[in-house]
Amino acid sequence: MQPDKKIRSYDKIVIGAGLYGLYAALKCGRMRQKVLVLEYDDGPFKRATYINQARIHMGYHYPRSYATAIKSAGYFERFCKEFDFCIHSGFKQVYATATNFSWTNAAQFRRFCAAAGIMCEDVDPNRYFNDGMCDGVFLTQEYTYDAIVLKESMLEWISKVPSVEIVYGARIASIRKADEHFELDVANEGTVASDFVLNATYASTNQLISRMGYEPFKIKYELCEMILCSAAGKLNDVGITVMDGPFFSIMPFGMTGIHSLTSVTFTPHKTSFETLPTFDCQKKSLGTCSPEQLGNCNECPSRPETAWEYMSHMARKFMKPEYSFDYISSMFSMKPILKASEIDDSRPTVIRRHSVNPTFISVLSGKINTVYDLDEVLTI
Amino acid sequence: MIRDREKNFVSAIVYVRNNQEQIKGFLAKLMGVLSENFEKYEIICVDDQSQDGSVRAIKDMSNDFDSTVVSIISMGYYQGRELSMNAGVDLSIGDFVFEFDSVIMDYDPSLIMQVYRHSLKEGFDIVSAAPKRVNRRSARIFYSFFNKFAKYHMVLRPETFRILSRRSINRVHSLMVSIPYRKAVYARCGLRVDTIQYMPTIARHKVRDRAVASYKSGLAMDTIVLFTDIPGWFVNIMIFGSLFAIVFFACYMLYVVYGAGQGIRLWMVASLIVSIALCGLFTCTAIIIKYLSLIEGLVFKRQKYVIESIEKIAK
Repeated sequence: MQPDKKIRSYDKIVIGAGLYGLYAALKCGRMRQKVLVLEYDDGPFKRATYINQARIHMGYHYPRSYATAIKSAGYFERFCKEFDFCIHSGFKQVYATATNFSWTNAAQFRRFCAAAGIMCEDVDPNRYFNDGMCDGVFLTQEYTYDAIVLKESMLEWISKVPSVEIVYGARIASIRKADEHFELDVANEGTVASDFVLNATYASTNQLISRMGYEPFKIKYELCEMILCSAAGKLNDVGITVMDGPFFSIMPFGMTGIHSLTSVTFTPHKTSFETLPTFDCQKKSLGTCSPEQLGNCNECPSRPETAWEYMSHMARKFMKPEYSFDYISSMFSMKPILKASEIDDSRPTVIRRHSVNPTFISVLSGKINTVYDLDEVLTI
Repeated sequence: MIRDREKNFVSAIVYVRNNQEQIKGFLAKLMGVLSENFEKYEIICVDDQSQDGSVRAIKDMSNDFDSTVVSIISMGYYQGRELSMNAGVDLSIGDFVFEFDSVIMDYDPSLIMQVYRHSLKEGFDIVSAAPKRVNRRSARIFYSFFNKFAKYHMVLRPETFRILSRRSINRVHSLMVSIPYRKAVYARCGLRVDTIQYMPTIARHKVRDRAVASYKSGLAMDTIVLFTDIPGWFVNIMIFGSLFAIVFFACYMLYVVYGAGQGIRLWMVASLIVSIALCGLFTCTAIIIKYLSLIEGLVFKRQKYVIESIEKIAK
């Protein structure tokens, strides 16, 4: 740091330009606050916001956690209204409970949907699935968002708010608490300061928290693969999710016209139970990734081999052959999972205030439409 | 040298019950064979409530699981080999599925591929590997008894592992909701099945496990009731025998009353005959109750088996 260089100060500094980071920046910018967004990658939405199934959750995924389900359903409508331009809703979303190994059976799922007040229409299992594979099949209401379209609009909106500044490729050399504010030394940018820092880095959240010496989240990490497939035949306007157990999901991926495929068993390739994400593939990442600073798994030289054979075999074991699909490509990203949520499979949004005045807040959430959970901490 | 590996995706289901000594060696040999011959495969270990360090031993090997996916199904309580293996097969996703009923490899590992190729080349949907020599006397008695009286002229023998095509798995599941005894169900699934016999390379030593022993005798009884004609014959013999005894008794009564006209010793004989008839009826009732309980198990139970967890072993 050059001593003559002036410290630039901001109302808020947001770390991470995923949806949560940009949403926070835009919201605060519109309140005429001066906001700086620091993003490690060379562009926004390069990790979890883009690399996931792009599902706008209505709650169907959480039949063992009413709280998560009802909250998702509540935000569903608001998200669909505000972001309708990036939403693909013109397909049949089918949820099914498997005959074997499911933690939820057909009757329980029906009861759950009734209690959560979400649509659930019985469909003949033999329409989509091989004989005996599923005991309940339901037509549901759930959509998918297009991360690229969403990104373009977010950037356009932000460009109209002059008080928001985004730095890509930002390398935070150091971060410290100084009296009433935080100071960050950012390579090529000098020192920036604010009395409000929002950590919206998702998988890197503990890495940042640890640098500050605060208490990290109790999370495990999964290196996940999502497969993009073409589904030109009968599957084209259908999304299928066999849920709550070691199953799979194949559904339209935003407005791209192709499908995404994931499976509970085969999507996670490697797991780390350490506080900081520690993986053996980091050694082969040519220095781009370490337990202290995650690189972008999707661009990593030591990306794992695809599990396409496994995922496609699982899906084909369940689905009738006329619902066919073919491999296009794989995408990888790091997923943090709260350890406490394994039994009820809930996915709460966790917001932690590590420090107040100056304020340091971390947000961790696995769903796109719960972004509104941020509102309460931003308006203070 | 790059060999042409099979494109078919295979699953291997391995039954584990207190095998901490053998499991590592077994998995190493199994993975050796499968990695050499298949591009992609999965291994599913079904742990039937092992009381020793079997699960630990499997997890210890996780570093060797580089080229494949290994999962462990933990059964909720001891449920025996049949239900445990059914759970494994239900989870498997392979085009072909190996069932390893035991981790004791008393055969050369090359037999695994021999069984696979026999299935593929000769068009058998199910091919089993069976030892030529059976040491356990109880097993010998059971199989000779079973084969003598089995329905549909089934011939069963002790088997160590087998391969199933996906088609045969689908067929078997469309025949029966739950599968009480796999070998008997596979033998009558209507598809082509075959057995390869081998000379065991090592002798299996007997392991004392009370839960297993009582499970096996129960399974033997159930199998005999379900898959042989013995109970049917027995019921017929007893019913007709009892009928005959009662008719005979009636005739004898008539003879006593209208013919000879004398007493006490005759009544004793008569009671004896009645007791025999009743005895037969009670036995039939017992057999009918056994049938009903089996039907109850097959038809009314919602869950075929109870599992505690399914876990993919991560590297």
